[in-house]
Amino acid sequence: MSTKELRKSFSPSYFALEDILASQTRVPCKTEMNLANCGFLDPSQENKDLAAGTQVELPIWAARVMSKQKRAFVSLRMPKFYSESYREVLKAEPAVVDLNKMGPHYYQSALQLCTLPSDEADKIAESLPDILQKRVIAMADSYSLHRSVKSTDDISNQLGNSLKFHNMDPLEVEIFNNSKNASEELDDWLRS
Amino acid sequence: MSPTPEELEFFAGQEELEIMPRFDCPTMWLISGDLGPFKAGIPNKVPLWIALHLRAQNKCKIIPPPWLSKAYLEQLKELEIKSPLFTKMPSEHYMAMAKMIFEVCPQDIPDADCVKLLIKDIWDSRMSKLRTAVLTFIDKGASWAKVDNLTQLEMCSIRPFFTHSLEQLHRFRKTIQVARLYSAGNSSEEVRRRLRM
Repeated sequence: MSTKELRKSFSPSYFALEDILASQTRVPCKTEMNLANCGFLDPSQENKDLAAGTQVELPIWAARVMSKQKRAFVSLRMPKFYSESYREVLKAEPAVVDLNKMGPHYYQSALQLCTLPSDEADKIAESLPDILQKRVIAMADSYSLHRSVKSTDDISNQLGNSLKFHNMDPLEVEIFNNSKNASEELDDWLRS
Repeated sequence: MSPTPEELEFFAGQEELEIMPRFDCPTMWLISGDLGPFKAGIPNKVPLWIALHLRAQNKCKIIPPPWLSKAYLEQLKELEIKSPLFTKMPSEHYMAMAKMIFEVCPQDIPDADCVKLLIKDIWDSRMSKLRTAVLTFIDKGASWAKVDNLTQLEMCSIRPFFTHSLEQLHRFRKTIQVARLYSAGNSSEEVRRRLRM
């Protein structure tokens, strides 16, 4: 039987696990000055200090602190999955892209990337609603089609255009699972 | 939070219904209100759950509500199929009420099989209409939707999907606006706080 717990939509907060996990996405950064005692940031080198011009990858939460406009220790680029070329792919055919692979928390990380000082931030933000919109539509029919179906993979073989379950972002997985549970509950009730 | 079908069935049990008692009983004082007095053969209004309870013990005959009839439902089905919008249902809980009555006493309803089929047809046609409506709504990029004449149970079928999708879309759109402010150089406390969300 389905669970009767409250179904809440995800909304980030200081304690939201998804939000914390999303802030782990790594951002490629370049140091702008010599950073004393920061050698540990680049495991490949043995110096105690980090020289200017070194390429390092920092998680979003660290990059945000290090790149503040007034005291920019590092300059940063957007991660490759959020680059122009990947955005183009997502724009062209949002429903077939494997968001799960592109960063387990694609959407949430993207929202956090918008807080970083970068010219691309608002372009990334702009691309998000369209992507989710198209993908949600692709997901729409699959959750209620057949209750024995455990994932959308089985159906997508028949339909062709559905969103594949293992391609979903956690955000989409949550919407999908909630919808599936509710639709099964209704089915159960109608049949009882 | 959204009500489950079982909870809605409970609400449907509060709807009033006429019964023809087969027993005599003085007024009953219940927390939700007084019932009766019942006199054999004289129709009386009671909540659905009591009606079904009495019917199960064969203590009354249920007089089906006027909308639970072949003629009315045929008309309604016609309307529903023709209209692009949702037509108003005779009862907020038509599906649950029909289901509960049919479970206990299909023999009290004239043309029971036919009525059952009609209700199912109406339900199906509304559900398919609802599904296309939901997809068009998301497709058009709306962040809110007005749905008239939908019954609670029908909303159950779209609720977590529709509301959660729209909510996330709305959240993303809000972020665009704030990100624009931010990249335009506005890094006030307010903007930063909203960006964190």
